[in-house]
Amino acid sequence: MEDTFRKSMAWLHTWAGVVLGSVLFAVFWMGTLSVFDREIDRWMMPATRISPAIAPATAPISLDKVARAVQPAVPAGASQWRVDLPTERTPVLRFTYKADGMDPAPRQMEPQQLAFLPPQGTLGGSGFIFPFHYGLHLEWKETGKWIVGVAAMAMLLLLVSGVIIHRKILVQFFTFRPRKSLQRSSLDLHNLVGVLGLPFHFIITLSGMVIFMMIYFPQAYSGAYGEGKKARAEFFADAYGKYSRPRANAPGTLGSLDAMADVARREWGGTEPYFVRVWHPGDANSYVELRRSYAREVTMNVDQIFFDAASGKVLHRFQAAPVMSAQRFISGVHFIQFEHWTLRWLYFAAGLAGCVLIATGFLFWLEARRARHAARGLAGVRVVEGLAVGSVTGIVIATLAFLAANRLLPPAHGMGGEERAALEVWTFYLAWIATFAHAWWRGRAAWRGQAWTICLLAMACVLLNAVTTGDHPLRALANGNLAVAGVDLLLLALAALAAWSARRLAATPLQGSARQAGARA
Amino acid sequence: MTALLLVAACLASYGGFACLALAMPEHWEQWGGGSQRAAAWRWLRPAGLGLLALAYGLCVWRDGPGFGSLLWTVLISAAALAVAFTLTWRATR
Amino acid sequence: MRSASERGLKIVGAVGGGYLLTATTVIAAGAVLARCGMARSEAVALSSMLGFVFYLALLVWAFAVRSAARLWAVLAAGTLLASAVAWLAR
Repeated sequence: MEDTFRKSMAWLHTWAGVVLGSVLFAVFWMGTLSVFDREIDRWMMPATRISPAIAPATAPISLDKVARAVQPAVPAGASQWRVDLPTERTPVLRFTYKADGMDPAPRQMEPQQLAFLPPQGTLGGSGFIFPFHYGLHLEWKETGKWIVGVAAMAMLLLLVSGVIIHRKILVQFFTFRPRKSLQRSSLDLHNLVGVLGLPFHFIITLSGMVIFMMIYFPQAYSGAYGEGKKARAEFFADAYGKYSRPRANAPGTLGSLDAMADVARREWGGTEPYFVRVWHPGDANSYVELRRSYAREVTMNVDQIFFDAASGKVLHRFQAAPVMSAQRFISGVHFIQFEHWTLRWLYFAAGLAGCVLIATGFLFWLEARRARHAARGLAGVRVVEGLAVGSVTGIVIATLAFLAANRLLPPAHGMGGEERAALEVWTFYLAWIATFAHAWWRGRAAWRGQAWTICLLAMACVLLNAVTTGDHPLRALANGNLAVAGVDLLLLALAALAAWSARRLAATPLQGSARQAGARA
Repeated sequence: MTALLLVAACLASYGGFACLALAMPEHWEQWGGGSQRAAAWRWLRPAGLGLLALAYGLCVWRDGPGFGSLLWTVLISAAALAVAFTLTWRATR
Repeated sequence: MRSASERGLKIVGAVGGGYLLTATTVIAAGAVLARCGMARSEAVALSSMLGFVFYLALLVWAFAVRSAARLWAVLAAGTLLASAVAWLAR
């Protein structure tokens, strides 16, 4: 009975891994990069590389000044405008608005004069890499989020089944034999990273799904609230907080936002608001929304206060109830929007470990099946190998191409901001498709070729940054632009790792393909 | 102070897993401890667990219960991997 | 040896049927907890979060169970039961 259970779990682990490994690697890769999405933003948007020496993030900003600064950019009849205040990792303000059918790209403002920066013409880390991580940029009917959700459940199954089938889990707890065959050493590394990183892998996957619980269990409210849109809205308002009031369709004024911020700060024990949103600007029924910053806590609180725009009177307050606070804590464990550099770096390392876990899983499966498939004349390994190479080294190449395009394309005022951003995205997908084509054409040798490509592309990106912006690592460090220096240095580390891998792959005898060639001869 | 507590937590985590590893016959032999069941094995495991517990205390002291628990959870994985790589490096020398 | 179609049926059952059972149970649990005095939004949030763990346990069982028939029977019975509870507690 025990043996059949293990066998079922082994079958499940293998097939869930082979079928969903590509999606999982993409999610983990983009997720790991998203840990430093704001830093990637600095790299991709040179105008936002504001040195902390010039404009410390702690310098207080007057919300009234902000309101005056954005006023000309808000069209008449807009339903809302919003400004996100600078943080330790994002030195610029972010302005967005919504008007009839329009949802334009966000604009950045520098923190000293509150002047608008020219459109950067890029989605950056926070606009491309991060949304790719949770939704694969497949927005129609939330398809992307559902695929990620299926992959996430599969990941949990993979972790559970992996532990069950790992016979020598305690004995081999610390075992890694890199000098043995590729099959043995990739399995060792797979098991090592999987077992030792188990708490992280499990928590990060489960917490990711909890964030989107309303998408993955869309009818959950219907037992307690009844059916229909109104019931759903009621649940949302009870859980996350919601306030609105309709326009008066008469002109109105905006009172002192700073006074409202003072009220909020006092109620929140000194914690600052992290954004300000004005609903129905210019209308008599306009109201102002402030939300409490979660930079110093794990929980992504939803504390919110709404004020009447003209008088500054408090209209509505909200705080999450205990269970929802737990959901917000769990969300915070995943989102890591807090200021804690040690944890940020540890999450980055753990995310990379997750990528290694998935990649070594593919490698092991390929090596283990190679000889068997070749002997039986099956094409399975060839197909999966192409898929694996494109999904692993391929997506890395695509990401580097994305960064390189960011530096190579002319600045946004040379072409429209949104067109330029779209071209960067096209570069990503075209490069990615090319890596799949290359992988299916070259077979096992593709690993090495793509590893070398990663090495060269990563170095090219560092060079391009230095040439196009002048912020080479030494200068960036001197200016206090740690984000830019950090991205460049990690790119160089990636180049070194890729070169080492390529040489290691060259050293491994190509047993499999030699036997395949022999079988065909 | 926070830097000191972090270093201490890292060392305690690393030491904890090192003890747990050495409490395993295969790794004990690797370290040249001899193949006989040594007296050290009786206290290595509790010492290892104790050091990991100490690391937790240090993390919570440094960053509070929320951040501290999170820090410890990710830190010990990193420490365990570091111990594994140390053993591998020694074995391939 | 298990046939491909029987395996395929098992996968559909485990993944699809399991999800249906889980979603229905989440709805029922939300209704029951709300009836027992928990604030409605809290009940729904708790059931939703626990739903993921429930689905995971269900999937492990579903992929380990020997016969596809038994799998479908349990899923169907469970879903019916959960629906009944949800309807009664609404």
